[in-house]
Amino acid sequence: MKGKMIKTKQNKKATRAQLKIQQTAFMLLALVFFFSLIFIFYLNFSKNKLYEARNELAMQEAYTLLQKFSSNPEFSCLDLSYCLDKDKLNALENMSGKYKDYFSGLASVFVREIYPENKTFIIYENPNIKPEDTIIGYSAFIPLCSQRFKDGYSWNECKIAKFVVSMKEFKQA
Amino acid sequence: MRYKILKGKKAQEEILGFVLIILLVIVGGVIFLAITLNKPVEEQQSLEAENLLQTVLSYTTNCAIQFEPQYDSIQDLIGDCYSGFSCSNLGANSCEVLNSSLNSILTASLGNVEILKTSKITAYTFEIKAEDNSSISSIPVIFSGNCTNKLEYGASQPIETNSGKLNIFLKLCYS
Repeated sequence: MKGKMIKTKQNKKATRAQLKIQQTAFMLLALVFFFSLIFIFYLNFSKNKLYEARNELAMQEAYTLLQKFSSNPEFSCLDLSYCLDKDKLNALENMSGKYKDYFSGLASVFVREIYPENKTFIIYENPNIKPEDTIIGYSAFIPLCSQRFKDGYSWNECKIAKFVVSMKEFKQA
Repeated sequence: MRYKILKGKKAQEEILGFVLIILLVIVGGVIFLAITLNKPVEEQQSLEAENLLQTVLSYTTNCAIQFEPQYDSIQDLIGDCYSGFSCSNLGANSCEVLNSSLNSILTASLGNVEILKTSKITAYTFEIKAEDNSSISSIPVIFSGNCTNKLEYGASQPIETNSGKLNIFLKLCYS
């Protein structure tokens, strides 16, 4: 009888210990689950940031290209430092083949006159861009000037234009 | 009875521990978010304002102060308006030509009020001030859109005129 009582007491103690272990295990599981959720959230956040940074870099690349483009004697004006020559653009329009290496990696490059008239000068179009590709464009305002002559006088007539560079957008898969 | 009270106390302690852990995690998260979100925004976007300001100032107007075809650029026209000159070829006040040209250029470049409601740039301000930062009565501030609670970036350009130095400001508001 006494032996049976001791055994029951021991069994109760063991069950309580098991419950305690179970409780700790569940607690640990909950914590692991909680931290995993935080980690997944952080990972997703970082991934988004990475894609944003990639697109930001692409934008910087476009701006750098604009600076390079506007200071290139093939496109720049004679008198102004930040300007595109409209007459040169007219002559060089649709010469994609010649600028294949210069604009490699881009989808298209064009200059759009926005004021007072609307006219687009296509400088480069990448033939490898597929219709299903998502294209993102970066633009910067630039004066579009042309040399004018009247009564023995010559002057620069500048209009408002946008230099647009477009490239494939890097999207999250 | 005593055993039950002890057990209850232990459970309370465990709950308190758990709450403390959660609180610590939340505090950590809040600090992390505050550091991440408080990073200063890069100046990149002001490049757009700078480009636009330079482009606007280079625009050739149809106003010639002395004779045709010596047409003024917007930058020249600002100086001529400040000095009180008139456009001899148009028979108009240079300030009127300046204001109408600026309004048309900015509307064509950034959009009208309706377009600004849906575009990335929600508002713009074009302002010309004297060297002592005072406003010029003949050149009103050009403003369009809604800039409340928006990120504001700008560009400025000092210019020299016959009547003194002026500062030109272009502010863009981004959604």
